[in-house]
Amino acid sequence: MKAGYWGVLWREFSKNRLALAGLVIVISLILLALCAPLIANNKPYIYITEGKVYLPLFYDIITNGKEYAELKGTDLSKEKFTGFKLFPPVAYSYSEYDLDSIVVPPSRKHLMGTDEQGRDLLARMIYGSRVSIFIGFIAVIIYVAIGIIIGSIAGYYGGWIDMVISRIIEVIMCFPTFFLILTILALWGPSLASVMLVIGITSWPGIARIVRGEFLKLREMDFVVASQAVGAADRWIIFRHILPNALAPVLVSATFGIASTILIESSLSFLGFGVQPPTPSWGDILSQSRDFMDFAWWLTFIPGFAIFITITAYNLVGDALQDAMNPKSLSGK
Amino acid sequence: MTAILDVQNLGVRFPSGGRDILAVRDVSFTLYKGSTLGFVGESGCGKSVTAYAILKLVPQPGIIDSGRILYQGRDILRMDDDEIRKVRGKEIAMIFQEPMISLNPVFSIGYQISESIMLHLRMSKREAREYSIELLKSVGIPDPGKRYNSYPHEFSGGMRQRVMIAIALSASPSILIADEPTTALDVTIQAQILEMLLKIQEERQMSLLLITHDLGIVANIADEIAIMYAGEIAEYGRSIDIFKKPGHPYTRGLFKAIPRIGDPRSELATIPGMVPSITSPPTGCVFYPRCPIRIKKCIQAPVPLLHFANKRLVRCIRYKD
Ligand SMILES: Nc1ncnc2c1ncn2[C@@H]1O[C@H](COP(=O)(O)OP(=O)(O)O)[C@@H](O)[C@H]1O
Ligand SMILES: [Mg+2]
Repeated sequence: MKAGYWGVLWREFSKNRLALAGLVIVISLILLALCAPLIANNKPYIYITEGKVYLPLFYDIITNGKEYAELKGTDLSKEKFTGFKLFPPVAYSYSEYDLDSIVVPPSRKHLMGTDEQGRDLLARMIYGSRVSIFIGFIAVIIYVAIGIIIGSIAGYYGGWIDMVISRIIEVIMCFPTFFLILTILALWGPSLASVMLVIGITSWPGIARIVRGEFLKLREMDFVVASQAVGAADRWIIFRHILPNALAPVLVSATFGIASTILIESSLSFLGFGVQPPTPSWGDILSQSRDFMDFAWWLTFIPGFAIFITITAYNLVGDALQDAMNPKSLSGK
Repeated sequence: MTAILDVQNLGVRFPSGGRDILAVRDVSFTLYKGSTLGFVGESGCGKSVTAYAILKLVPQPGIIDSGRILYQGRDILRMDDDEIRKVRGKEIAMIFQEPMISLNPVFSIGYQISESIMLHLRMSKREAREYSIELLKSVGIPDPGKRYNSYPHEFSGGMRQRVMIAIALSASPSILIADEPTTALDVTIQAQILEMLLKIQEERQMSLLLITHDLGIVANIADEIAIMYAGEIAEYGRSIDIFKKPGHPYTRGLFKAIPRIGDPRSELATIPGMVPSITSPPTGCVFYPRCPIRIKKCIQAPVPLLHFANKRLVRCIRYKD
């Protein structure tokens, strides 16, 4: 069998059933978040009436919120129009009020029930996954990029450069991240961008440390000396030879990082520092449900459970990736 | 014979705490065009450090603190980063002791050969690929077209060392430094690799600096031999002369340590004691503690390299005895 470095890694990873399940959940959530407007929407995919074909949902997405002039002001989900209508699986939008069905438990009409304003919880959960996952990915991409650059420099050059960077890392690692985030959000005002930016800027030292450690280890490896001996330049060796070898541990850490970022975002939203309504996030939904906990179990249970499952899935994937990187499986023996 | 590499009074030290380790002290030797110089000594005597110094690749925290390394008249130690990079691989190439870790596990071996080709030669990707396959063939990799896309973990140690040699040869260097190229390999494979290496050296008229701890390996191969002990050259000269009559008691000890096939009497003799780490300039002979023929006078003054006979140097005041 032909298998490169990543191929072997995948082979080891896929031996772990639980991790595969985690990966399926992770990928489904990403797809769900990407396709949210196509899955939960109160506009039909297609609407045919009086010999005319409308695609209200796609029209809305493509034109960024416009409606067909002829249909202006009509709520297609309510109006008893004659004709053919095909709705998405969840035929509600996340901000659509239905004052007739406030705080109804899960039913056939609302699979996850509704909240105190009569909004469909499933639609809100689907849109909420966007916030969580978007924040998770962007924040982690920001800090992984910063961490890789700084860690590579420290690890490759060593000496005083490494000394200075390591001290900075130690200092930043002493900051209580969560409270730093709270402080900065209190100053800047809460918004999606500031949450991501603050997490991104404060969390890089962990990655930098990993990359630095890998570099210190790899720098002494003969293949690095070997590529120096054929005349390769420093920059080339760092990015082409050392970094790909250091990437797997970074991937592990990034996976855990996404999980913890999702948790941080949920906590912030829960405390009221997160994204602002009407954009729903899971933490937000959970936070608003506090007042109804006694009689509306689904409003707390569902977002809480979703957060739990997501975090667990990411952690399972991260764990298995770590195991797969066991040097024994890659040495080729 | 014309000299291609001339190392003069090389000194390398490793700062460690307050006391520096003087790993290489006052080492001088000459490598001639198309010839083979055997560099022999026990583990830890400074062979690798000397080799790395030639490419200005002494591992951290090592410092080259004295000497000149003249490659075709130019001092390598005075070259800046760009200049030395053009020498590495293109003029002087090196292969290492551990083929298992000398290749990057992330890339296919074909990629790694092509990369070193494209560093120094103007070739398109396709030309580099064809040339790589040719090189793989010349170092004895079976089915090179197919193996081009294999990854290091699919190769045995011997095969990886062949790949390393192919990489080293890729820019047709005039000097190949082979640092214990067969030490990590099985005995049968050792012989094959050496044989292949010598064939290529002859074909290409390359100069070879062959480093080994096994005097037996260089016996039939080297034109000249430098015996190293504790960071110094203990004996230096043409190999036939040295084999006929070793001048230094350490060299004689190394000869006794060569296992002879079919000689039931010779059990592996070893020189008692270990290579010391030298942290201050020695006041006398550094081999004194292990020397079978030592006398008081040996530690009263530093022992210089003495002219023993024509083109022969030995660091022993009792060479006449
Ligand atoms: N990276 C290093 N750090 C500190 N000391 C080193 C390092 N590499 C080599 N040395 C010192 O240099 C001496 C010679 O090492 P080396 O040239 O590797 O020996 P060998 O003859 O086995 O190749 C060692 O005994 C050690 O004291
Ligand atoms: Mg060595």
